[in-house]
Amino acid sequence: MGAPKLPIQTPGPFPEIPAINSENSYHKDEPIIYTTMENDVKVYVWELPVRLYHWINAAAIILLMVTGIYIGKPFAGAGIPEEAYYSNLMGWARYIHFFTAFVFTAAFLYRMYWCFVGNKFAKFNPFRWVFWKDTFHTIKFYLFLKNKKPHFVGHNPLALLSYWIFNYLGSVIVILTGFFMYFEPQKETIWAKMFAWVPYIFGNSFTMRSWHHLTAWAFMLFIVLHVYLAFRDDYLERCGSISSLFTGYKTEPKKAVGEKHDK
Amino acid sequence: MKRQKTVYEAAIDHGFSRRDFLKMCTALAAALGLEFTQSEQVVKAMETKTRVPVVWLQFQDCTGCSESFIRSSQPKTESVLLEMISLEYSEVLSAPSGHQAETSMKQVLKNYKGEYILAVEGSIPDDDAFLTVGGQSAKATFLEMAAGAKAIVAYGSCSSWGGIAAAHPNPTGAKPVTSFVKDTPTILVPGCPPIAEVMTGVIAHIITFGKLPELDQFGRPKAFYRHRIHDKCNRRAYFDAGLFVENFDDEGAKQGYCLYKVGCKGPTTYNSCAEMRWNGGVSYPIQSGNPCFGCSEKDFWDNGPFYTRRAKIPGTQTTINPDNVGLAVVGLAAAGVTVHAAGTVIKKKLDDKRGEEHE
Amino acid sequence: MSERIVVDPITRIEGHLRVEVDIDEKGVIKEAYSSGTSVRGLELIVKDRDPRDVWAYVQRICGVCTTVHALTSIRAVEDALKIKIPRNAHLIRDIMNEAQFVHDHVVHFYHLHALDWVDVVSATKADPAETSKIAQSISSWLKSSPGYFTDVQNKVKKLIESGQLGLFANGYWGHKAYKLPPEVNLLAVAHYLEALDWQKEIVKIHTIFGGKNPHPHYVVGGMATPLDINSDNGVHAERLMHVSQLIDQAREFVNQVYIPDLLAIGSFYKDWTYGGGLNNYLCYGDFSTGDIYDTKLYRMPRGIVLNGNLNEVLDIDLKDPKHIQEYIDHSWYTYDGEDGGKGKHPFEGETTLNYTGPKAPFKTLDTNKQYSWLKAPRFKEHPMETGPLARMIVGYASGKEEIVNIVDDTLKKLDLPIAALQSALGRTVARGLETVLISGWLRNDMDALLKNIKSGNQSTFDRTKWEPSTWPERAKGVGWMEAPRGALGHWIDIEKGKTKNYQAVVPTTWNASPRDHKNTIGAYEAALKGTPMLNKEEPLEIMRIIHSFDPCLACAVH
Ligand code: HEM
Ligand code: HEM
Ligand code: NFV
Ligand code: SF4
Ligand code: SF4
Ligand code: F3S
Ligand SMILES: [Mg+2]
Repeated sequence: MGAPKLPIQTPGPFPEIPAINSENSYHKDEPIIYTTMENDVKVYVWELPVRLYHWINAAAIILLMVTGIYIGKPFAGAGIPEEAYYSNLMGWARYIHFFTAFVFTAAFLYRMYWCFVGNKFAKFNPFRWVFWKDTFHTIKFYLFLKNKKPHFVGHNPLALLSYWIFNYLGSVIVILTGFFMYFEPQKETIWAKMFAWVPYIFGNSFTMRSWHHLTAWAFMLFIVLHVYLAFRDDYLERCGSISSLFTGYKTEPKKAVGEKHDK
Repeated sequence: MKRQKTVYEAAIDHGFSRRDFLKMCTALAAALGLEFTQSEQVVKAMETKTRVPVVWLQFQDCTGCSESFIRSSQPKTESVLLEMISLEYSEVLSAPSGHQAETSMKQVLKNYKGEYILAVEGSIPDDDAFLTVGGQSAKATFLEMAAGAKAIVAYGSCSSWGGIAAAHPNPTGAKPVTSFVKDTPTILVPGCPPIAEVMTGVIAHIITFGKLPELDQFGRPKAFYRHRIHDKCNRRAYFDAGLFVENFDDEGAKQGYCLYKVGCKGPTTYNSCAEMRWNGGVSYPIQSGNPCFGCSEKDFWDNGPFYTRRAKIPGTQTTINPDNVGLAVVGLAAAGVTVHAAGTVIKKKLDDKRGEEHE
Repeated sequence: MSERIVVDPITRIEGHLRVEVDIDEKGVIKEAYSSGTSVRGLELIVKDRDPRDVWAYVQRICGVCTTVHALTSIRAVEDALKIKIPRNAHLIRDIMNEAQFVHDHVVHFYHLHALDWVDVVSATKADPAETSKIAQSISSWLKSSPGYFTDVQNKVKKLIESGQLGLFANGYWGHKAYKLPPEVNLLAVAHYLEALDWQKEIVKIHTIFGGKNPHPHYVVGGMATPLDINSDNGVHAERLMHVSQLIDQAREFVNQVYIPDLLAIGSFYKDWTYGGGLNNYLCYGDFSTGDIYDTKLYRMPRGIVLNGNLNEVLDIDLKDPKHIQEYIDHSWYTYDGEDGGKGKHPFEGETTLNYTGPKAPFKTLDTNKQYSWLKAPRFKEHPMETGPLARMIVGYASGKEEIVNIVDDTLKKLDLPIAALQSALGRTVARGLETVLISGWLRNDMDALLKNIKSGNQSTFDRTKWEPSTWPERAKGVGWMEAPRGALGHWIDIEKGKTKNYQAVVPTTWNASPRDHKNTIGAYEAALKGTPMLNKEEPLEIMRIIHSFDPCLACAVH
């Protein structure tokens, strides 16, 4: 693979220069790595906040989806017929939905904060030409076309893109529309006022719900693809990408990160 | 011009006793959502204010809003017409027709510039072909009358949002009043039609306090559009309980279960039906077993069918069952994934084999 | 030489009606043109919608006859899908329609029509004691003391003195055609105000069964309102008693106020015989004591009377493509891209808007060409009058006992021949007579409903055909009824669960119709012809005749 003809900075101090890609070409900081086998190193990729976020987020979304679908279409009737007093099924569904929504939102905000202070694998910068070039190669890779996909220690750019579009942008939509709806009965509170501008983007109460509900399904679509690709990646590259989401470490070839710390 | 009678004087003149008058004021205060003690304020306002001239223009309407207006119980329609306002022009009620009717309108413009209220019922088409009155463009008449008005009150969903005539495909290019006027303060009183007491209440507010009621971000008076039907619904306990009417006339319907699953739009509808109810508090659609279809909401005619809950695909007319579509898309993705997974395994096997051979 | 007189807007009606007449030098109307100047295109708006929702859209055709289009629409859908509704639902719907009639007719008489006969200003000159005597001689209504009429008179006086006449400003007061003595004028003004207060009560029947008025809710397959005398939520004893009480109050108002006033006022105008018109009368019939398909059980019979021939009542079939057709030769529409030439039965009907009139502002319409947003419906190419007069005439010609009796009695009281009915005043009297009948049926139907409930039948809804999956691929249906202003029909074509085509032919479309392909004039136009105008500046005569039909232009054009 020839070096890309791009105005890029070389990663400098690496004795053995890893193939340049959108991941290492503009993030100059170096990962923490440990030597494991002769040619491999263990790399600390996912910091604790990222891992925590990942699993809290995943769990929250599942709960939000189950309760949300029930709210939208109460498929099960309450067990005790006749009197409303004895049952609170929808009440619980909503309560769990809202409680989880707060956890979901808190985790999301923390993750956004970590974009600024986390390691280079926690960051995202689509404003580089090489990012889109890598994305293109990754797409070809998934289409079983001639594989020029560079190797990535963190996310490949297509994955990154999908996280931002489906997960992070999706989160913004459900959070804004969700909290608007949540505070609808108390229009005069400061909380409601914080979201009073949301209708200018998402329309009145009815279209607001439509956005919320449809975005919920976008999450489901994402999950199917995402979980599949996670397993696939693990299978093809055997780099422990799934276990890495628990431990934080990935096993990578030395040349992928350079051998600076390999002593 | 000679001094106009105050509302109080008019009431006494019309054979009302002081006691009747006070009763009317208390009722008004209640209709305005004021505390009992504040009815003093209403009394004072009525004693000192003259009857407010009102010109009521009808455009692409069904007259349902005018009809609703005359159903008012508190205050009674007679009191509204003879004591609170002076309805100078109305196609349904005015005695004169033709040019005499037009004269009535012109006199208001001349004698009460900046003082009269312009009530508007019905949407306005951009193209005059679809509506002329007296050989005049409806739009031109509206603009002329709007310019001199103290305030515009858009009664009903037609004048507030475009309403039925503007429903897809909007064959006449019908538009709400707000598309035409920018400078005159405008109050939207949506509903198809709005509740009588909401309609008279808005005017009463202007008379009593001499200013427009506080409006929400869409221009509706907060006093009547602050809450969703769902927030005050008499069936709400059943919603929370998860007890739903599955079919009209089933046991749940008789018990008063929640109408959510037969399409109730109460959760997305701002109106005071649940609070004030209709026709002197007798009932409202939901109480009588009918799902609300959101008749006071913008574009409610195009927000999907009335008897099922649906989602609108933003920016289109299309409404869908989001769960069906979501399931289908996720199902397709899952199928795609399975195929792709098989491909991956095969390719890897092939690659591995080739790799082995190379070594 | 003739002179063109234009009256636009015609007020005290529903909608936007313009009338142009040519008068000769003696002031007699030679030609008349009736034009609807507004359109919304509702037939286009309901296309592709769920047929179960359409009632709500077409209900917004009119907020005055606020229940009838919804009812006709669900009848059309039920006809297409062959849904048989429970008897209770039929009764509730009839009760609601009867309440609508009573409300509509009383409001029409006092608030829309009376001022053509009643001079409000003259009421200030009345002797209230005399008015009281008259009131007590024609009715036992309690509010009839001299003091009461003095109060009313004072209200009117002060209103005039205040300089803020409001609704009454610039009326035709003092016009020579007003014939009532001041005392009767005062009586009418008093009841104008009473009726204003009363009308908001009767509609509570709609509120109980349909949740609100105007525009109560309906549902295809029955009524959503559950009947359950043992539930705290359904229509139970308290609600039923409320309805009963409203019915009794309504009947009292009709019999003690409306009818005595109508006859008292009418007796002063017996010589004013203008406004008859076509003498062709059309009724679809309604108020079945069985269900809607039992045309034999209609209390208001179906049929056609042509050229005033009371000896023969013709049949009408709403599905026969030759019976009802709409023409557009003088209307702002096209059919298959053409300006006219042919008629279309509503199943094949088309609504394509095509304005060719003058650009606003304009003085007169070009009445030789297209001049109205109304189509011209015809029965076998005959223009028709429909409404209260048609119903009384067709009922009379069919020998319906109830109708024959009340017509004969009234004519005897007024000392008039049956032909006298064929006039503006006759139409107004016919409206009153049917109100008496219908308010009686209101009581009967309520009693039938109570009886049904007592015998344990509380069902109001048939759900077997609710789901579109149970519908045929394609189905056509027609819904009809007698609405306050006459025979109303809606035609629906359903394909794959959606509304493929929808057409409404409405009472006022018949009555206010413009000319057709053969230049044959409509009912308003015919009724105006030959009427002398006393003062061409104050078209009181035109108002009387047009108002006697109770125009509803939003209905007519839709
Ligand atoms: C991935 C995250 C989420 C998913 C999948 C989700 C899903 C859903 C769904 C399917 C509905 C039913 C919509 C309908 O009426 O058709 C719903 C309702 C709702 N959601 Fe969420 N939601 C999520 C996040 C949130 C968040 C962050 C909030 C913030 C408070 C929120 C608040 C609400 C509210 C207030 C409702 C309406 C409940 C009601 O009015 O009874 N949701 N959600
Ligand atoms: C609701 C379910 C899930 C959601 C919304 C979700 C979302 C995400 C997001 C947003 C990231 C990027 C992490 C970051 O940079 O902040 C990520 C990464 C990852 N997730 Fe998930 N995840 C879900 C479930 C799972 C599951 C069930 C697995 C494993 C079986 C998994 C495996 C992974 C892996 C391996 C990565 C790193 C992939 C890479 O290298 O690009 N995820 N996930
Ligand atoms: N014409 C008419 Fe109607 C009636 N009655 C409807 O069908 O008034 Ni609005
Ligand atoms: S808002 Fe509704 S009731 Fe009012 S004019 Fe429009 S259609 Fe009629
Ligand atoms: S009936 Fe409608 S408004 Fe009332 S609780 Fe149920 S969904 Fe909400
Ligand atoms: S349909 Fe309209 S009348 Fe009230 S209950 Fe719903 S807003
Ligand atoms: Mg039609």
